[in-house]
This record gives sequence, C-alpha cells and structure tokens, in this order.
Amino acid sequence: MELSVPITATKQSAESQELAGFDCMMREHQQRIYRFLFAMLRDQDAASTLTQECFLRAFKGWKSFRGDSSVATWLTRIAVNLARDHHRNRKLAFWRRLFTVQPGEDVTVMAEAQAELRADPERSVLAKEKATAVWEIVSKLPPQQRAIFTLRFAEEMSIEEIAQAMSLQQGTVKTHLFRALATVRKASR
Amino acid sequence: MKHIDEQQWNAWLAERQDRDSLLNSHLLSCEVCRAEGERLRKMVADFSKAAHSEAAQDESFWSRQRAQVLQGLDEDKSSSWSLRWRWAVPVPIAVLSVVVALVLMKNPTPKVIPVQSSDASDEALLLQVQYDMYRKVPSALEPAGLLVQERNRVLTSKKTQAK
Repeated sequence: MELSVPITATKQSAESQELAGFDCMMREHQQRIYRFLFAMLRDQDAASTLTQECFLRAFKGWKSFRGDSSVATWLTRIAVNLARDHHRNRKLAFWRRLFTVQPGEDVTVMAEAQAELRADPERSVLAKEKATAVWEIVSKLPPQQRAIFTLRFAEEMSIEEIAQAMSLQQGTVKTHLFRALATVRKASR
Repeated sequence: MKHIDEQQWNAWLAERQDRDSLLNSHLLSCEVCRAEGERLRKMVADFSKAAHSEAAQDESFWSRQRAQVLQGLDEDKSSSWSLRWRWAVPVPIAVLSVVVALVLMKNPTPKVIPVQSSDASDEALLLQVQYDMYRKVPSALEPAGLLVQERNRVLTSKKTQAK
C-alpha cells in the first residue's frame, strides 16, 4: 500500500509530461497540417476534423514512431492518408446516393441541388475575392498531383520529404509534380 | 537562340530554382525566358500566399482544436479501458458453466424410481381401509386378540373338566 502511492504519482507525472510534450508538438505542427488538409479538401469543417484525427492517430502511434523521418514528414504522411480516405469515402458516398435514388427523385435534379449547395453564393464570392487564380486552378488537379503541388509550394517540402510522406518513389513524385506544373502553367496563361 | 522548354521549366520550378547554372545564365541573357521565369515564380508564390491566407484562423480556433484533441485522447483512454475489461463478465460465466458441466458429467444424478400414479395409491389405501373396517379386530391389535382367544379357550376347557 505504501509503495503504490509513489508509483501512481510517478505514473501520473509521466502521463502529464507525455501530454505536455504532445501539446507542444501539436502547437508546432497544427497549422501546417490544417493548411495542407484545407488545400486538399477546400472544406474548413472537414479539414479541422481531419486535423484532430491526424493528431489522435499520431498520439496512438507515438510509441511506434522510429524517427526514420522527421516528425513533420510523419505527421504529413498521416494527413495524406486521411485526405485519401476522405476522398475515397466521398466518392463512395456519391455512388451510394446515386444508386439509392428514391422513386420520383431525378438524378439530374439531385446533381443540381448538390451543385447549388457547393456554390453557396456568399461563400464563393468571398473565396473568389481572397483566392488567387492559381489557387483555383490547383483545386482542379487530381488529388495526388494536388497533394504534391501543395506540399512542394505551400509547405516548401523537398522532393525527398514528399516521397517519404506519400510513400512514393522520388521519380514518381517528380512525374506527378511535372504534370501538375504543366497543367497549372497552361491554365494560368 | 533556343528558349527554355517545358521540361526544363518544370525541373526549374520543381527543384531549387537557382541550382541550374546553365538555365540561370540563359535567363540573364534572354528577356522572353526571364519574363516567363518571373511569371512562374510569381505564380508559385501566389499559390503559397493563397494557401496561407485561406487557411488562416485566429488563436481561439487553434486552442479549441487542441482542446478537442486532448478531450478525444481522454475519451479514447476510457473507451480502451472499458474494451480491455469487457471480458470481465462473460469469461467467468463461461468458465463457471464449463466447470458445472464437467462436475455434472462426472457425477450423474441417481436414476429416479418412477413413482406410482397417485390414483393407484389412493385406491389401494381405500381398499385397505375398507378391509380393516370389515375385520373384527384392527390389524394393529391382532396379537392382543389372539391372546384373548387363547385365554377364552383355556377357561372354557377348565369349565368342562370341572363339570
């Protein structure tokens, strides 16, 4: 009984130290992760939720992190996977909705309603005011190219770091980046 | 003079822009390529600026997000604790049932003798009562009856001898 008190106290202080360290890490990387996810999803709520999920996963996997890459690259890898899953789920949700259309509900009507929902006028005006042309062009790139373009030019990560974060070969990253650049250059002329 | 082609521009943008000395010397001498280089440099810088400004939030947003993550960690801990102890009820119950089953298999219950139907036993009892009622002496007093009979026989034989 006498022994259990200091053991519990030590355990608690170790836990609080761990949490303090984690909070510090979160402060350092939170904005970068959110920025990347927002650039990928263009949706504040989804980006915020996935940023939280990213740090929850990071905390769970903290012990398994071997330090092969930097913490920033490791967190980016988690965020890339989350964005990929989100994109896949959204695609699936679209097809699920498409095939479960209620009788009398026209597919074109549904598509129009979705388009209207997306183009919230006030929001889109604000977004257009703020956003530059290239920001809009990048949003139309395929997800993989968009992720690489964002990591390279918004987060200024090197090709090697992007390859690590996305579990790709450096050559593959370059190919995607060159394609993205070609599209953006053409569209911005 | 040959201008910079698309592949070279991509490489120039994708990798460090000041690394390729050949391209840089061409950019110094060629006004067309220099203008294109400036345009591309500005395009990339615009994107970076837009990405930062679009994702900009005030401090309360970031602190709220951190608080939600920490709350999520707490919830996760408690749920993982309950997951860890979710076997606490079913496993002992299963073990207990197995033990009981084994004990019952080792010591089977003795065969129960089938009891006669209550109607039959009632009828037998009724017959017994009727039989007892028709008897001179109840069955419990039968030995005493025999003694009385014997005494009467001895007395009558003595009387006849005396006569």
